[in-house]
Order: sequence, then C-alpha cells, then structure tokens
Amino acid sequence: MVTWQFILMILLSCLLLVFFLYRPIKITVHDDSNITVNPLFWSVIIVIFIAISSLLFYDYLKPTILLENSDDIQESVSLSDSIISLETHLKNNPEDSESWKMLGLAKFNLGEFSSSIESFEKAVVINPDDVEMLLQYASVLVAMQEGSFVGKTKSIIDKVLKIDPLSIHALYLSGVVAVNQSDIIAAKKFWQKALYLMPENDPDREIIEQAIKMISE
Amino acid sequence: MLIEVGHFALILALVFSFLSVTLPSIGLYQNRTALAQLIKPLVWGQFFWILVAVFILINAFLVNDFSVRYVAENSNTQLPTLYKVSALWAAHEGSLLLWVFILSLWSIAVSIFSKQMQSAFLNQILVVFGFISFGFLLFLLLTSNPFERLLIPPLEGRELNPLLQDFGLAVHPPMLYIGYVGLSVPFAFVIASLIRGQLDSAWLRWTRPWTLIAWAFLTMGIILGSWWAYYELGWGGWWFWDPVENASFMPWLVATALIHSISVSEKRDAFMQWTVLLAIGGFSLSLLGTFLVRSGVLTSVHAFTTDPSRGLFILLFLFVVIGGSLGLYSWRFNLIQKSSRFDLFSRETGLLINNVLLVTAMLSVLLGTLYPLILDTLDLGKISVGAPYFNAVFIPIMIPAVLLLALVPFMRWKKDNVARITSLLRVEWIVVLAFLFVARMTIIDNYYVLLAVGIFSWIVLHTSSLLIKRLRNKKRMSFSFLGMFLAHIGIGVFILGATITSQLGIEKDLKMNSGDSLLIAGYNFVFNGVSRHEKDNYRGFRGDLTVFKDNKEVVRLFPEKRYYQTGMPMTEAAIDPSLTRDLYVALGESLGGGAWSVRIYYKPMIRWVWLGGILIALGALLSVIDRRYKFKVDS
Repeated sequence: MVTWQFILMILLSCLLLVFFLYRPIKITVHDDSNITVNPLFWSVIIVIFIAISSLLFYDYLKPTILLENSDDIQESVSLSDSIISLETHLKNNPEDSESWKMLGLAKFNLGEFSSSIESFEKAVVINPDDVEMLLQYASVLVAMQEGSFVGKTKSIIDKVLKIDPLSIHALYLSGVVAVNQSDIIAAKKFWQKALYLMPENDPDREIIEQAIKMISE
Repeated sequence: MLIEVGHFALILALVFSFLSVTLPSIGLYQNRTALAQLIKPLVWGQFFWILVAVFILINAFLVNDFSVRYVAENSNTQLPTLYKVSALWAAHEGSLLLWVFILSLWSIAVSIFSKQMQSAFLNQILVVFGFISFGFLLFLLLTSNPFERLLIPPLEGRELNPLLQDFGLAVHPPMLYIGYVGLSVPFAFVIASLIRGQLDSAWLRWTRPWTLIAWAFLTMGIILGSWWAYYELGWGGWWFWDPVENASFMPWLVATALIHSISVSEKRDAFMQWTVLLAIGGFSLSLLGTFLVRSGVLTSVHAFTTDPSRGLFILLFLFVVIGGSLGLYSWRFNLIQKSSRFDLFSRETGLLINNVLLVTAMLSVLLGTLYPLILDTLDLGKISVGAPYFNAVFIPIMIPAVLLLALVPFMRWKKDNVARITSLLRVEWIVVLAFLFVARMTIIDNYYVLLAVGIFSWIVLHTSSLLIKRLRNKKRMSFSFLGMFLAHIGIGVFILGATITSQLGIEKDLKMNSGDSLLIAGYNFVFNGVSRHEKDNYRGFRGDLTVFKDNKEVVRLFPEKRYYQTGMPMTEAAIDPSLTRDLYVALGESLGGGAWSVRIYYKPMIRWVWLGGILIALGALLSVIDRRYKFKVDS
C-alpha cells in the first residue's frame, strides 16, 4: 500500500539527485571529463527508476510483512483477515509451527474453539518442546474447560515444567492445578517460586500474592 | 506506519546504492561529468536513508513496538534503556544493519576527506563502495529484514540474551565493525586503481591512513571483545580461539601485513603486487568472517543464525567479490609497477619476511578454523580444533616475526650488511642475554615465561634504543615514528601479559561453606556466604568473599549468580583488578547445606594483554596524524 509518506520519501530522493544533476558538484582537481549531459533526460530516467523500483521492491517484499499497519489500531487488519492470510500461508508452508500457533490463537479469539485446538495440536506435533506455545495451548484448553485444569491441560503443564523448570507462567499454572487437587502446600511452593523469579514491578505479582494469601487463609 | 517508513528507507538506500554503481560508471565511461559527480549525492542519500532506518529501529526498541519481529525477539519492557539501544546489534538482522550503516559512514568519510584526490579516481572508489553496499543491502532486505512484522504482536517481548546485557556489548561490536568494514577502504582503492589501470605508488599515500584507522578500530574491537569475554563469561579466559574470534583475528593479521607493505610500496616502490593482494585479502577475510558468523555454519556465542539461505547468499557474494577482484588483478597484472631491486639483507627483505610470517600465521588460523567445517561438510566426521593446535602452530610462526619486528627498523633500505647491524646492536643483545641469564638464575624457572621476558626486553630495548638514537641525532620526531614506537612496545607488553597470565595463573574450583578459606599466591580468600539479590530485570544470589594478604584486608568481592526472565542462569564474576594481578571470583551452583561451588582465579599481569592492545591501537592512530598523510594534492 502506497502512502503519502512513501511518496514524500521518493520525492525527496528524486529532488536531491535532480538538483545535483542540474548543478553538478564542483570538480575537484585533474578532471578532464567535459562532455555535458542532458539533465532533463537523465532527471526523468532517475525519477521513473527510483519510483518504480522502490515501490515494486516494496511490493515484492510484502509477503514477509505479515501485518501492514499495526501501529494504528484502527488500521489493523481484522482477525478474520489474519486467519485467511494464515491459512493461505499454511497451505504452502504446512510445517510452520509458529503460524499454526497464531492460527490457533486467532481462532480461539473468534470463538472457534475446536478448530483452534486442531491448529494447536498441529503446532505441537511439529514443535513439541516450544514452551510458550504449550502454555498458550494449555490456556486455551483451560478456557474451553471453563477453568478446569484436569486431563490434557495438566499433562501439558507438567511437560512444560519438565522442559523449563523456571518458567514463571508454568509455575503459576502448576499452582492452580495443585489448588484444584486441594494440594495447598504444593500450590504455595509453586507460586512462591514464581514470585521469586518474577521482576519486582511485574503487574502479575499482585495476582499471585493474592492467591497465596487466599489459600493461606 | 513508522516501521514501514524505516522499511521503505532501507529500500530507497538499496535503490541509491544501485544508482551509485550504474550512473557514475556511465559518467566515468562516457566522460560525462555531471553523471559521474552524482556519486557524492548518491552516497549522502544512501547514508541518510540508512540512518533513518537505524533511528526508526532504535525507536521501535525504545517504545517496545513488539509488532516488529526483531524487537519482540530481542527486547522486552523490563530491559534497561542502554540495552534497548544496543539490542539493535544483538542479533543477526540488526548486526547486518549496523554493517551497512558503518559501510555508508566509511564511504561518506572517504568522500569528505578526499577532496584533494583526482576526481575521477575518487568517483571510482565510491562506485566500489556502492557495489559492496548494494550486495549487503540486498542481502539484508531479502534474507534478514529487521523490519519484518508479526501478525499478532505479543504483549511482552523475549529476553535479550543475558550474556549480551552488558556495557561491553554496547561498544565491542560497533568498534569491531568499524575496523572490519574499514578494510573495505583499501580494497575500494585497490579495485578502483585496477579498473583505471593506474597502479603507481600515488594511490598508496591515500590508502595508508584509512588502513591505519581501520586497523586501530579492529584492534580495539578485538581487545574489547576479549575484555568482555573475560569478565562476562565467568571462565576467566581472555581468548578462546573461538572460530568467530578467529574470523576477526585473520583480517587483523593481514591488515598488519598490509600497513607495513603499503609503507614499503609507498617509500621504495616495492611489493606493489603483494600490497594489492593483501588489500584484496584483508577485505575478503572480512567477508569470509561475515559468512562464517552469518551462515550458521558455526555454533558459538556469536553465531546468530542457522538459516542456510543467508549463508548461500553471502557465499555467492563472497565468490563475486573475491573472484572478481582476483580476475581484475590478473587482468591488470602487467600494469602493476614492478618492484625496484633490493639486496637480500635490507629493510625491504626484513619487512617481506615479516609479511610472509604474518600471512602464514593467518593461514594456520584459517586452516584450524575451516578444517573442522570442511570435514563436517564432507561427512568425514566431526573434529574440534582448539587451543592446543593454535598454540602449537601459531606461536612458533610468530616468534621470529616479533624478533624481526625489533630489528627491521635498524636496517637500511635497499642494501645493508650483517656486520653493521651486529656492531650497531651488540650492546642491546648483550644486555638482553645478561638480563635473561640473571632472571633465570634468580626468579624465573618457567621457560615460556623466560622466553616472553626475553622477547619483551628485546622489543623494548631495541625500540627504545631507536628512539634514543633519533633524539641524539636530532632527527625529526614524526608522529609516524612515535606511532610505530608505541605499537611495537604494545606488542611486547601484550606478549609478556599473555604468557605470564597463561603460565603462572592459578585456578581453583572448590566447594565452600560460610567461613571456609583458601590461600592462593599469598592471598587468603574467605567465603562469608551467599545472600539473595535483585535488580532491574533479574534476581539471583550474591556471594561475599573477603580477601586478605599478610592478615590485612585487601578487598571484598561479590560474585553473582543471576536469573533473568528466561530463567537463564548467568555468572557475574567479581574482579579486583590491578596492573600486576587480578583476583577473580565466580559463583557456581548451590551444593546444598549452605555450600556453594566457587571458582577462584589468580591472574598475574592479565591487564597487560589489553594494555598492549590499547598501545597498538594508539600507535596506529598516532601514525594517522603524521603530516605525511595530510591529504595534499599529488602534483
């Protein structure tokens, strides 16, 4: 998408070169070149070349730009648009676990739960040790099970803790699992460890501190 | 939208670099001044757009714009501001951006400070810069785009590698890159001369100061990297013969040969072909280093990427640049000025032998670096070439080189004789031998240390003697001479520091409980225990040790074990530095029951390693300001 900023940048570039084409930099020393050029002809060539080549190249690179205008929320692409582009991308790149994960998240946000789970499962098959993805998958499962941490959710959280024993998110979730199983001591242990590892100004500290306070009472 | 402006700025820089190759070339070929002179605005424009891209990416780090993949992968909201800025070059894409930015800085500097140079020649040089820049910008945009966006931006970014959250990272890579990329200047000069077919000694006068500046920065970059590794990695080492360290050391060796070779070519019209080859070789090794680090063929602290498409691109670019340069060299071979004659015993011969030794040393490092990779590629097994190989091969090659380094300045150009040198320097030689004999009889029983002390006194005595002779003869004391004096002394200082610290250093790995103590080299280390510690974006443990000497407290040391958000443990060594020795303590793991594993090092004279490096770099910079290299017109 060509915006006024791009046009301004192209204009600036062209102006710089055209100016110096009409007013060449003073020759320093020992220069014997003296054949003049037709500045108008070369200016046209330069302007056309800069405009076309830069915009074409930008257009060519666009597939790597997954989101075009995300600085402005109003300009952001919609989730359904994202899903379409992700699905198209995954047709050609079925082994891209990151995209499967993003598709799972996007579908979950749209309320397409079973489809979201399918995407996550594909991502897990491709990349079974991605801690961040496993935690997101677990969170989606919990949300679908209305907050229940049983079955598959628990096994995923246990697996994450094995891969990364210092994962704050996994420690927090393990604490919740322990509370669900009425194991208050274990829950406290998990949460205290998570608190220890969390930065002092982490906004989530308060949640964990409240939770510890609650189970202590 | 700002990110897309940065992205588009990089594309415009690419377009400018393409135009800076094509338009001035047409101008130069057809003798059309206006077109040829466009090279300067093209260089400035390219610099401007790269600068815009750099600022926008830094801004993305500062405002935590995690919609940019590179920012999300290398920064988070908790990261201190300094590291948000230096995170720009913490990974592959940003490092490449820094590479092209520094290249554009060098080309701007050449265009500004070479106004007295023949215009057509300067334009040709800038065209070569444009070509290199085009290759790297294309590589950056096609395979390593730092402005790539994320479909769903995360709320929080990842942790910057804790190893890199250090002041050393903020300065080591830019310094190293200035040196690395700076070798493109002599390369561009040589290629422009080869294309124009003007290979007299005139262009050398223009090349030498640029090469010296690049060499000084490369030295500082390597030294800073070594210093950073010493205090940050917690192993107490200062050089590991890591392939990526070697990748920066090889161009340094060739650049060292180059600055000496240029000097001979400029003053005596000799070694012209050799100088041309060294200039091509220096930059080619720079590119090779970039390939080794960027292609993912190496696994190291420095190797940021494992994407084979990137490696393939650089390999192709490497092939075009090296192949093209050597092709041009062979095409113009007959035009390269032939060496004037010199005797077997002359300063020219001395410098030539030193040059050959430096290049041989470089080849030995190259072999050790590439051999495991070649074997692995050919499926002939995996081997690891480490310090024993490099120490066994590299050091014996360098010993005659450093001995010659002190002698060559005494030799006469063109023709000299052994008898004159012997009679001139016999006092120095006797003093060195007597000093070594006394040292062996009294304090030194380690032969490596004795050798290092011998080399140090050899260099210092000869170089000082040269200075005294100059003062006595009331010869002009040029900056060039003082630079040489400082750099050669720096080599001696480095050798002494490196040998003593590796031979006489003491290392102890032990389990310590609160109240335990250990006596090393007269220092008594008392372990007072460990406490919890937290700061900024990490938490961890802090050890407390008091060091006593002769029952007097010398220092208290607080080594740390840090855990960053990723959970990655980091060892932060505590060091008491001094010119004569470092006391170095690193905290290991908790062993239960209040016991901790602790590493204690006694490092004699380790600061001399970096002091030597600083002297070498200062020497190079001092030589640059010599009036011989004031940019005057060659009439």
